[in-house]
Amino acid sequence: MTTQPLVNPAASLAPAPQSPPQVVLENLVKEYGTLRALGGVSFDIQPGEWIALMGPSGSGKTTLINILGGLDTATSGRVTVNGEDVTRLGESDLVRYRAEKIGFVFQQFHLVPYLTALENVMLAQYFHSVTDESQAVEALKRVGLADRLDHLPAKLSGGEQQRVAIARALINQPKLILADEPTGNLDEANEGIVINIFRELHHAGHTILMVTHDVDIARNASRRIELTHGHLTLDTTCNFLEQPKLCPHGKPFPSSGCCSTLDSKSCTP
Amino acid sequence: MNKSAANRSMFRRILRRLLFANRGRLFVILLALSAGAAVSAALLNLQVDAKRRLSSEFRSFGPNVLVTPPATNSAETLDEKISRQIFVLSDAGKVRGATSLYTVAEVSSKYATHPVAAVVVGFNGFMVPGNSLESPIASLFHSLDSIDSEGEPSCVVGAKVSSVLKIDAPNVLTLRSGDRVTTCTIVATIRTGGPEDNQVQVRLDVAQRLANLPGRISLIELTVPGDPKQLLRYTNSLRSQFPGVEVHPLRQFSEAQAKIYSRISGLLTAATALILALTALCVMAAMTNIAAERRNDVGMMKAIGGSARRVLDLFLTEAVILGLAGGLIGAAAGIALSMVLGKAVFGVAAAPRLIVYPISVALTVIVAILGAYPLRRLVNVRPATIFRGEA
Repeated sequence: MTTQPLVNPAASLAPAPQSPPQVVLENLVKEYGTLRALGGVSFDIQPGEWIALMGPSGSGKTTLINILGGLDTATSGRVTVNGEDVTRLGESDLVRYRAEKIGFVFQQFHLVPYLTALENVMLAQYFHSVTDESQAVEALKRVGLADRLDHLPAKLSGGEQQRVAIARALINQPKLILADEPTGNLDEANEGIVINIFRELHHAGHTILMVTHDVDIARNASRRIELTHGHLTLDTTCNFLEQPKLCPHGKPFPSSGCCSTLDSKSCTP
Repeated sequence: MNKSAANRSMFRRILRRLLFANRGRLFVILLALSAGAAVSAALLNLQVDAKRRLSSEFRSFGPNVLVTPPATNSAETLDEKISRQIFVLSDAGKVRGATSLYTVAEVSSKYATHPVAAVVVGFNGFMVPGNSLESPIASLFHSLDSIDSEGEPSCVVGAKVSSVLKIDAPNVLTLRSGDRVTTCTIVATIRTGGPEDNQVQVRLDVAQRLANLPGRISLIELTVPGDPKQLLRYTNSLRSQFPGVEVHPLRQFSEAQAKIYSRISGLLTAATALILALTALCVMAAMTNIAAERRNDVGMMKAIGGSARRVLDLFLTEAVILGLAGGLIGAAAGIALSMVLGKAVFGVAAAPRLIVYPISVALTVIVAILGAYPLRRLVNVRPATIFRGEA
């Protein structure tokens, strides 16, 4: 399988440190009845960042990504994406927001089983604005599926289905890609292919927030955020080969070269 | 290709895939809708045909409106022109009628020693060609008219008159009123058990000459189609147009007709409603399964920017197509079925009523749309709720 480069390598860009954040989460709370899935999470995302969102099951990762993508509503708090307060959007604005600004990649692929690979990609165009078959074909060629255009999802391997899902997520050129364990259902070979695609997207300047349990995959990201029981417990741009340590309140920050942004002021020696 | 054409093409493409995603299920839904359409079309056709058939059955009992001279004087007669004016004002295609002149004459025959006094009725069953009253007398006079045109006037003699005068067809009868005498050839003897048994029926102009009342009539009999309300409207309109006459609606016929039709109609409507409700439930059961199957698809469509409206448009169009297909097939079969059922109920095959076809198809489409309720409910749910498996 060969994939064409998703972007021109020369166009690769790193996040500008001083640029205004693309995403701002402020004290985000989500409750399901008496269960508190998110207990006041706050952080910013700079344009072009690739964030690995980690944490044990039930820590609130998917809830956070759903709220950020406008699939679910927050109980309280604020989510601002490109200056737009997502938590205040009405249903029709949320539809527009999801169509124009967000590209979703799910663990379960979520392809429409009775539409071909090409039609699945065109479906996103259809809901966004207008279908363009040649553009959809091009998107599938970029993820190496030029010979699978007319295949139904059932006739595609897991990796191929996930690549269709990625082509679908990218077809409308979203500002933010939200991936919920995109390699969770893939074998090692397909995982490598999919992660390579994400690498190219990152180099192309796309902002990616990816939920993953896999530290090896998270290592590709430029930043790592961990949630535990709905609370932010780690936010670091450290090299993940060195396991960063949390700074408990009042204790000196270890001089490991890590640069955790979480509660960094109180951790400063 | 412009934007809307490209999107229409995509809409059709998705729709085609939706419809043929599961052929077995498609067949089951189509079968349910076709069966519902067939039975409802059959019942509706019977219902519409029952009205026509009952009207025709009741018309054969005779007139339901009588127009007479004012009751102040029993010897009073009406100008024959009034009958023509009534027809001009009425819907000539639907109202049927006949005019009569009653006079008393001495009736004799060569076989009887003494003449007898009998009522001679001059009858014209053809106020408007082709709109004769439907009654046994009218039928007789239909043949009488053609006989009359060949020569001497013909007459129909009541059974009692025939017995007293010891005369029967084809003898000649002499009718005398004052100094006016006429003869007629008996063409038939009738026994109705009613006043006709004591009468001699002749053509209207023959009676007018005998009574010396040219252009006069005693009675206009009308058969007006419709229910009691329509009949009342018609008689009120006659009263206002012809204040010099008395108009008597014979309501018992039209009321009986309305009562019977109302019962048959009510029964058939209830049966149709029940069938359609059962069809809707069948479709809804199938659609509930489809909704379960499409739960993730709907969540995904909404997640990638599909509005509830656009997703719903797809599903409703699918339902409309299924309803149309089921309705077109089923209603055609149902109308054919009603002809068989009509034969069993009325003894005559029900005439296929074209209006029933579009009504049945429309009802089936509505049933299909109502049956798609589980899908309508699903598209209004938040995607995250669907992905969590709570929808």
